[in-house]
Amino acid sequence: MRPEFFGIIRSPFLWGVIVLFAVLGQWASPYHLGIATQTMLYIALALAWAIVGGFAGQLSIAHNVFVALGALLASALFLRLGINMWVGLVLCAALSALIGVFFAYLDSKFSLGHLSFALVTLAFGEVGMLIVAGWDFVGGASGLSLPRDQGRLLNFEFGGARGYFWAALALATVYLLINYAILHSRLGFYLRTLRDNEAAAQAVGVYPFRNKAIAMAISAAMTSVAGTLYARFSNFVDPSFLASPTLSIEIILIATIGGLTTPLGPAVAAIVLVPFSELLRGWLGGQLPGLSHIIYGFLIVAVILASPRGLVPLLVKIFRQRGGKDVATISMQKGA
Amino acid sequence: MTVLGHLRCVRLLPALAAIALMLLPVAGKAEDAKTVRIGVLDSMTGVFSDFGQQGRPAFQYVIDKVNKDGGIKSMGGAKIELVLADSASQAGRAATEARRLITQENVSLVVGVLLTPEMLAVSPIADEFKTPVLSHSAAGARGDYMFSMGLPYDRGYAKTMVEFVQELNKSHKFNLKNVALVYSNYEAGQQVNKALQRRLTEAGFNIVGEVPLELQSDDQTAAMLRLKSLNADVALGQVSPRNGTGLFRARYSLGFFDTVLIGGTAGYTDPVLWKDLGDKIGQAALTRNLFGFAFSSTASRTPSVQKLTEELRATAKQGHDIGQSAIQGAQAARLIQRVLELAGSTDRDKIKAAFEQVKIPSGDADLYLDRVGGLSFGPDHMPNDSTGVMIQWKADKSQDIVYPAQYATAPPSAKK
Repeated sequence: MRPEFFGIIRSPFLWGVIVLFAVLGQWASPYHLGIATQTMLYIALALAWAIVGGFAGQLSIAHNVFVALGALLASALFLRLGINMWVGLVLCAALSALIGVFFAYLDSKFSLGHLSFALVTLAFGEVGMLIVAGWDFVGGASGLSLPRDQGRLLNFEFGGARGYFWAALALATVYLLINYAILHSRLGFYLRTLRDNEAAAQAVGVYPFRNKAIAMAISAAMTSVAGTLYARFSNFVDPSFLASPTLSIEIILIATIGGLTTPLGPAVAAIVLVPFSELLRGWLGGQLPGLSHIIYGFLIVAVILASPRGLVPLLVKIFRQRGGKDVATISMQKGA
Repeated sequence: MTVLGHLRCVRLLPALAAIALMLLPVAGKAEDAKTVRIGVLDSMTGVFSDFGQQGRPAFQYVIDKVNKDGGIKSMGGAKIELVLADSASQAGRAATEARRLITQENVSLVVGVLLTPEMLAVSPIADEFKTPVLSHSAAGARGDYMFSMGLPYDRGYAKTMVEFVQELNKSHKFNLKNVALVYSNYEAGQQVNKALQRRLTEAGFNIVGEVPLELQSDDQTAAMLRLKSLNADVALGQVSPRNGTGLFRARYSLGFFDTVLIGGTAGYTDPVLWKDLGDKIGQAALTRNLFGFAFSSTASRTPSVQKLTEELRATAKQGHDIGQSAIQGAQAARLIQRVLELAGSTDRDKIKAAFEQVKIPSGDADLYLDRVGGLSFGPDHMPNDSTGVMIQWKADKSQDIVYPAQYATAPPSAKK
């Protein structure tokens, strides 16, 4: 692990921001708290995806399968078999990791290029949705309703809106640290090398399958865990959303808009896009249905045009012009 | 100095302050004693936007009438103020908007199309904030504060459809024995299908196969070919508007009209089918061997429905023909008027109690549904009388009600 990582985890700024969010959660209204929780969960999902999509450069469109496993299977295990959701969380994360390794195996076995890998995972994403819709054990297309939260932490209940916000904030924080840890570890270097030139990486002794499989397993397990928390937060586990490949696209969009070269990218993009989308629909959705989608679309197009590499690189550029230096700059200079 | 220590924090403070402001609670708006604030949460965009686009104008039209006629009398003529929201046809989004309407907009109750998944997502919020929610069309009502005017999948959809098939055999010599199940492969379609399987088996019908329709697919030629291969006398199931359009287009293209199609609701009965199919295909594919299951129909001879239909058609905003979603919307508005009159207060628990007591009897000018038992809620917070109607299309795009007998405007006719 490079010393930069330890610098990050000792950073008063990072912990200051996290504590600020945590404290704000104490006073936020239930509506804003709900949006903030969703934002944190999207940060977690986007960070989990960025490990394969950003560091390894593999455009996986099957991450909805891992969300569905974490959300639906863990809920079904609890509702149908009485298996504690903490245990379900671990089982589903392990199963997701195995499926992730299988994707990496397919990639290695058939030497799939980036485009082929994306198409293969898209197919798995669609198949995953169809399996969920036709599998009664996980509720089929009707989904599952979890019992009311009574604040029993041992039963994976976090005691209402505020509890879920703090849980999601903790998860997003852990995921951010994991991303930084990978970025500054040997695995992170191997993944970036494989992303940039796989043949050259192999020539210097980097094993594609092993490293991609590890990345995929970590990413899949993290996605599954976020899915389980999403399910418990929303109480009703809706397969048309949580198992849909559209969710994969949303996650990719957030990670890409933020910028894939630094863990801050997905986090910043989620903090901007998720509340913006929700608040905009709240303000305009009633009077002018659809207008909020148009404005949201324009924002995304504007960001892409202004900074094709993402929002964070754009912010970095602005800071640089003002003579400042920030974490993203340094991350990119020394890591990505 | 650490990496993050290099950051010039001060420059980020405005951005952090903006995020902080978003998280801060917005002070509740002061409630005017002479108004009742109602949250209206419909699917105005997304895959089920047809329901909201049709239901909301009718709902608003009736609420405007209530306000013009003196408001809620038991509350000293209090006017109803609507706070509008869009669920985007997604359960999670519906939950977020319900939370906003209840906690930010301080509404006394929430009403909306709220299909079953949206209802399931909203019900924990209704219970948490002890706020009554009325769904136009959910097939169930979960929780203490949720009520639905919709029909249950079993005793509403499946029971009516199976009894209609039995009636066709008994009174109209259709001789339907072999049944195929054709349904949209999503939550409602699957649930109705399960109930149909059970009821059809109990009634002695022979189920020859299933034809699930993918919700996002426009081309249903393969499904129609599969149905043709099953040699079924009749096909039953719940079908979405998009799947209905695809199914009838395929029916026309293949010239296959032998199997009697029975199903609904909107996928077989909504006027939007004519708009999507065009007159030529519509006349060929909708008027032969097809019966649609609906909550209600503008073909009704009930005076209150006829009057409402005329009024809605005359309204400028209702440029196109109206369907069952508009009637449901108007009925929801009248129901809320009755509930508020009973409650005499904006207190949410009193409104909930009023929902449990309210009854609009058959023959009442405010009842827009053809139901012998009128409209009232049982212990499950669903309508006590949950009978739908079966309709048959005519070439001029109007409908006849063919079942139940007491509301029928014409007998069911087979035409291949």
